Amino acid sequence: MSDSISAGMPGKIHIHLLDSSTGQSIQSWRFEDRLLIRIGRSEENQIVITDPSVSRFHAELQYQGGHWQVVNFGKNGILIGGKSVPQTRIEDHMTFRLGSSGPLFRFGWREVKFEEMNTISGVSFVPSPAIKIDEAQKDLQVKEIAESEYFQKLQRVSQQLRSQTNKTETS
Amino acid sequence: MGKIISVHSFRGGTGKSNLTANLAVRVACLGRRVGIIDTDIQSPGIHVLFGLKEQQTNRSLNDYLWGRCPIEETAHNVSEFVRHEARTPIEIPELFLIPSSLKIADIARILQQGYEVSLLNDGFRALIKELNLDYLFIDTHPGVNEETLLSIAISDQLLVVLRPDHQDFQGTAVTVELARKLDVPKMYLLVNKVPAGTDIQGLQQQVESIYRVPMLAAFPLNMEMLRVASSGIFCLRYPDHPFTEELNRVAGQLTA
Repeated sequence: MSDSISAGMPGKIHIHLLDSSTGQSIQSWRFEDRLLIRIGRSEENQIVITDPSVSRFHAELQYQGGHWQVVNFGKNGILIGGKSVPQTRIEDHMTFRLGSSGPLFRFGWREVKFEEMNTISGVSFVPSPAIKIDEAQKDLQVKEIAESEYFQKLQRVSQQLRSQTNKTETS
Repeated sequence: MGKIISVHSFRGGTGKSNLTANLAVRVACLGRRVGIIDTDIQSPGIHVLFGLKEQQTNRSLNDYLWGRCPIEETAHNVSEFVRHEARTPIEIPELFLIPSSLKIADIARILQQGYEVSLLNDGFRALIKELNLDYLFIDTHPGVNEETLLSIAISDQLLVVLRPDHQDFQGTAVTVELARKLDVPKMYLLVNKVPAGTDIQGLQQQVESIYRVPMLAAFPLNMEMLRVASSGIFCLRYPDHPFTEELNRVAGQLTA
């Protein structure tokens, strides 16, 4: 891992962890004038991700020569646009994934509000499933259980049991 | 008054234990003293979410049911684990977990010999008193049996968890009807693992119309939960996730 220093200061950047299904930001980090940001499972990183597909020290965001680049140090690699890259320049709003099925991040220097990141692109609208209950079968199952000696005893004492529990703190 | 909240599902795989653990943590984060008891003696699992391993659990619910110790001695204080898991500092009073035994021999024994179910009721009351609990969450075994019926019968609030899946719909109808016969004071439905893009309003209308029970939440199916894979408490790892926002809302409703 490297700690190289570059000319100039990078200003503010925002890293968002995205929900893979919806693209919504579920967690975000903000850094200011930081030249090196480490991502991994270890708590020594600036961004700690407890995901089994993430290495202890998986990736670095390095600011060098006036731009940012993402560098891979992880076993499962970094994917951008579905392709594994060992190291590449990273631009505003670019996304990268740690491992083929790992967490997805968006990098940027403009803070995007939660509502702006809410996208349904790629998610088709699913009508709720039609719920159908076989009432006759339900009644039969309920009757079988409700007529048992144990259930009938419970019915008789349930009120008493609840009031006993509620009085416990005063006993 | 210590309140008992039972979390139940007719079938396995609904995410009941994950929801129980996460809701209990959210309630604790609201400043309440909370206990969680795993009464799924046949297939204990919620302890995994709290990082509790077999060698760490000197006493379990099984020991209490076999008369070896008072139930409060089976309570494991997991507050420190929760504080450590949280991404930002959190204040919680105390959070206790009463696990079921993880030893295969213990599970086999209790399945073979059974136990006095009424002891569970005595145990719940003792836990609330001895640990001074505001809430006791009961993580029940799926399906309907004497233990789950007892948990339902003594609950102040019953949460029935189901997936938007036809196999869950029918069994949930049976559970809801039985709970009505047992006069549970408050009952809610939690629909879990809802696919992205589902018409939530339509789902809520249907659920509430058919079961005549309020649907408290629809939790989204999400990759992050799959990745956590019960290795920890989701809401602590993803405090800003929409799933966690739903948990916060439900916790607020339960403690209102």
